[in-house]
Amino acid sequence: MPPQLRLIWLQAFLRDPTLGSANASVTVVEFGDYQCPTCGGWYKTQEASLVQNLVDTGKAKLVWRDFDFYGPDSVSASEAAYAAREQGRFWQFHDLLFENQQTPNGGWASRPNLVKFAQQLGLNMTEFIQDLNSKKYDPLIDANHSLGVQAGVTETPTFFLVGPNGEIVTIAGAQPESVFEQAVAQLTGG
Amino acid sequence: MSASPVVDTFRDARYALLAIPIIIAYGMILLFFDQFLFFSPYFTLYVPSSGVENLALDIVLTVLTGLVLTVSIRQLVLQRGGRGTSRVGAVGIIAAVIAGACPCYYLVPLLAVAGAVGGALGAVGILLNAFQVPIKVAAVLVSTYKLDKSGVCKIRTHVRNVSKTQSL
Repeated sequence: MPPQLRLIWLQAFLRDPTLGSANASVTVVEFGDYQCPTCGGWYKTQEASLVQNLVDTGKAKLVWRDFDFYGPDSVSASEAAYAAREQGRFWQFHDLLFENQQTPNGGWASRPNLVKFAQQLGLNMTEFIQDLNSKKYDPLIDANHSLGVQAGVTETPTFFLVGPNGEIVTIAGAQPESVFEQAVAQLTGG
Repeated sequence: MSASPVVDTFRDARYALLAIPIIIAYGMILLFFDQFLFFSPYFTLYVPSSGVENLALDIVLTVLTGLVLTVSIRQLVLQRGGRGTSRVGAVGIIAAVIAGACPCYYLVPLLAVAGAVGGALGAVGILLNAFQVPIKVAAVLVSTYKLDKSGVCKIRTHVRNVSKTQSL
């Protein structure tokens, strides 16, 4: 894929759940599946450090894109996270999903359990269930998957770090946070 | 008469040295596939605290495979240079090497058949010889356990359009 086209695919859109300052010079786009054990492992061991060292310092912003391939529960989990986003709690729901992750397709991300997670976060349940059942997030989830395929995602998590000059560094797999710091320094000339 | 093909093999310095690159190469492959070793964007070796058990299994499997492969190679060489009655063709050698190296040990019978096509029944026989059997069995057990434990999320199929979710 031509680099410019790839860049367009990886630009953060307003629709994307984004953590951090909009003015951050580097965008970290994560393609993941809530049921993927490697994604869960990365979340549990690395994401907090990345947020602390790169997002909270304004060096980078983190964007989530669904790349659901494990099964229907992955899609349900994505829909539930977007339903939580309607109430301004996307990242809390995202965190809760990974903290409660168990065996893929083992039922932990079934829709009744997703409702329990929403209750745990104190969301407005009437609105949450209505949004969850609306199917209105399907086009976004499908589009994210297509974007991932186009961008060359072959495993999850895969991260694309887009620098201020449009340069892209790809980090495939659950790599340590230090690699992200190194890549951000490379992209910003720091 | 030797006590064991394994001991005999490693008494010979050439084969002991041969085992080193085999173990390093095989170990790197396993570490890469288990996401302990990354080549891109930077060369990185990383073992998360949750991966220590898997790393230990990788090391055990690597050493076992290194032993099996080195002994197999020595026996193939001896057989070729010795009696000459059991000719081991290139296909047989490759089959034997793959059988020893492949972490998917269920492929071994298949490879044995493939090896036979190349006149490598002798090689297969060697692989199943005395001291290698328990090593292989151990490797099979470790491999099976590892396969069960493997959590790397490689994309095999895209299910997005296969099944849609149900409403509550």
